[in-house]
Amino acid sequence: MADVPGVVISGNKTRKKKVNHYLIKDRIMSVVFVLVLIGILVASVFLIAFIWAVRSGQFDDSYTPSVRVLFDDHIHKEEITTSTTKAEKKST
Amino acid sequence: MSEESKTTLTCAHCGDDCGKHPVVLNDQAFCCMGCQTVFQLLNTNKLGKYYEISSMPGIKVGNDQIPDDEKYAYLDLDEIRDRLLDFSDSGISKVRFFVPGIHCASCIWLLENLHTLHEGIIRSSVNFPKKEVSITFKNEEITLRKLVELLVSIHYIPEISQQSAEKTRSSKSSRTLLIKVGIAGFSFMNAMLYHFPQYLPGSEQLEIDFRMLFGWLSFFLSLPVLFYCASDYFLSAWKSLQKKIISIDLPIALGLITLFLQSTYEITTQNKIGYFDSLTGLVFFLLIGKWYQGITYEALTFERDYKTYFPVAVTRVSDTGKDTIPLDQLKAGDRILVRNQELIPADSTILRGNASIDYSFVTGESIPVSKNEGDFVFAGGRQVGSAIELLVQKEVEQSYLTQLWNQNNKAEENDQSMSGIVNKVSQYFTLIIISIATGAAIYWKFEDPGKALFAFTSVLIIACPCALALTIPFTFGSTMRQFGRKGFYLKNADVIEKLYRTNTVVFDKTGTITHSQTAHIRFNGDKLNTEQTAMIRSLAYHSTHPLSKIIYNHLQSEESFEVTDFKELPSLGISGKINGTTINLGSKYFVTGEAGGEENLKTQVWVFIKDHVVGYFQFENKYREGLQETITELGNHYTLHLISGDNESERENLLPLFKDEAVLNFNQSPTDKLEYIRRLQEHGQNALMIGDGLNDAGALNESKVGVVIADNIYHFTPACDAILQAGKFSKLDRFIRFSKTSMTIVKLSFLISFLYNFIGISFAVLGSLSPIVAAILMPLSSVSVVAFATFAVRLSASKARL
Repeated sequence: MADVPGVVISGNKTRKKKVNHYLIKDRIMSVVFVLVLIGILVASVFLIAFIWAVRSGQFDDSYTPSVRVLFDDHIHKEEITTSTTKAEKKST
Repeated sequence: MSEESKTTLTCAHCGDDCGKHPVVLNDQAFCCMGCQTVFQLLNTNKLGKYYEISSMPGIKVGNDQIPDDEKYAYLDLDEIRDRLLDFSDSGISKVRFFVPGIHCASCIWLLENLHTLHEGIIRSSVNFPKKEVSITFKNEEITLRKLVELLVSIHYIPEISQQSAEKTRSSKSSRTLLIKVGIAGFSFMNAMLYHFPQYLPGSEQLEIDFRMLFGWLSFFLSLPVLFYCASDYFLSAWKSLQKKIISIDLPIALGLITLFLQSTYEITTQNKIGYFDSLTGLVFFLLIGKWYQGITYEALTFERDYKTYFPVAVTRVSDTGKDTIPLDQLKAGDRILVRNQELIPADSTILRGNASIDYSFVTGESIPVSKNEGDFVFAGGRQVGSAIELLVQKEVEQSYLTQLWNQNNKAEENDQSMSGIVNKVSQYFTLIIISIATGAAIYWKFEDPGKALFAFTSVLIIACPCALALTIPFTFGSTMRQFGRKGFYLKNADVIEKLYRTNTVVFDKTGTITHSQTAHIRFNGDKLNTEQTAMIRSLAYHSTHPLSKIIYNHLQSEESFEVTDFKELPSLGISGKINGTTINLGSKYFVTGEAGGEENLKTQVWVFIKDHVVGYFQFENKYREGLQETITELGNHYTLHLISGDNESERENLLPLFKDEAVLNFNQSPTDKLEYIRRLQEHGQNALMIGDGLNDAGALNESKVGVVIADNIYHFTPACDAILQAGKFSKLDRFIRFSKTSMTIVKLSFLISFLYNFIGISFAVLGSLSPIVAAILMPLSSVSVVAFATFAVRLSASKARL
């Protein structure tokens, strides 16, 4: 969208200062050109990220991850061994 | 351990009623030992959180469902293991199981923490919509068999069948479609940005360099959209042209090509920017529609063949001992062992043991049939009770039911009728559009030759039936989702159109219009006093015969007596003495000494106590709730038929419902059923078959729409077009009739899209189609059609009280 006001400004300014017409036009032109290129590059990064996400199967299941985030971290193995010994103590 | 309590206790594991004798452990009550064992196992492994995430999430596994120790022995066989494993390398393997029991967040949590139960499990993750768990494990520490047995021990019983061993990964195509949607969306959004300046007032002052920059960028953006994302439309248009059919894809493909050529022409010669935004937007919307229509029920399988039903391996008995062989190596003449709850994989005769075979999957009849040594048994039944030895008579593929199943493939013939209405409309549509375009071109040829070509291409561009093509996916897609929410699951959206064309409804009896799980028991004779009831119950307790079990569960008594002199006479009955009083239970011949019983077609168990015949228990089918209303409703709009494999005992009960003697057919074999449907359809009827068991498989396949009624929709069902939850039977008529409403909505949406086309074409014919008109009109028509279709379906679904 940045290019739209840029264009209008260039139109207005050409009317007011005819001397600088070519200079300003060239500058704005190059700025817009760079911006457009950056814009499409950023968008491409997102597109590639999307394609990667689809390929790696992140869209295969859209329900389970929503449940998974609510769980605490996975149980670590040390905890289990200590807990089982505790449980054994309790039972004896 | 157990104590009597007045208040009803619910099982801490599964939430079931604990009954009179709960199992109590650490102040927690359980309904059975099985539940208690799992609870204990999880608690000692610090997995008690399972019970905190959802309340009482456990799965109850009845005693008779607990598999034999040897059941999973076949998983040790290398060739079966290799078939099941997704991946296996350097001691680490990955496997995916379909676990129908997955139902809540606790399930996900527990199955993803499987590694705490066994060292050998590295990682496990659940796909909830598919009810799948995939597990990565170390071969050295846990074998596949141990892994499955571990899952079984926590009551998550995986379904392992021939087909799961052969299944292809179907997710590939949906991924490709998503990528296509992504690329089309990317191009559409960017092209729209580049085109936007042209549509603003004052755009004439835009520098020509800018315009060309934007134009060429859009051109390059449209290339992947046209050649990759839209390739399917070109392919299918070409294919249907070869078959001399004009499909909806043809005008779409024509429109896309013209859009691209016209825009490229304008950009190269006229310093204009063209219609690339409309082109990419069009493809984007079309693909969204395709994706929306493609969302189906992943955990449900509609195309099962006998392979999903039969086990992967069987136990073969030879003189040297027992061994496990894959099912496809089973040959006629082999001796096999079938244990409790196992399926009979091939037609065979019984060598040893008393078989009591549950054919409920085959016939829908819940009462098991007892067979003796030397009897012939059909494949498909499930043995209940002790293990039996069988002599295989026919190979699996040659068995009666499997043959019936494989007889016809209806997939091909139905391809043509797919979205028939769209194709019919699009035939006229395409012809009309091409003639309008040519007409406009000829007119301008004389008036203003420079505009002729432009008018011609404009018509093709603006008439591109995007809205038309989106109507069906969104109307039928939403209808399918509304149905699904209410317990009626369709294979795909095309089934709705087939439902609409239905004019005949054919019912199966047992298991379809009657309950498959509960049989109705009535006692005829003298009224039983409490002592007699207790005596019958005590005697029945000692027998493994299915009818005895049903009687035992049916009768209620506080007392129980000790039975002496217990005798079980195969295919006759049981007898015993309680406190010196003789009591006999069994067939009429056995109990009364009178021959006969054939004239009465219902299953009966006669009772003799002390010195006289007290009476008999009669087993009757219980009809589903709302049967009468449903059938009456359906009868007003459709021709009804009934084909039953059973005898005529229910004829009198059914006649008032179906009203016509001729449509009631009894004693029909599976092949008869298939033939019946075929005859109906040869006479121009479009039949909808509602069945439940394997004996209906042929008829379900042959009918235009096969509906299977199932108590548990994730369990095995024969191949079909739709699955109806058993509890929703009374709404069947509303579902079928809603397909008509759906079709009306489709027609209205067509009208809307034609209206837009009319406006667009008037611009085009006048030769004044500017990119801005195209850019507004094309998305607007699509969006309004989609919105109308979706909301209309929702509104009418709630109105129809589905």
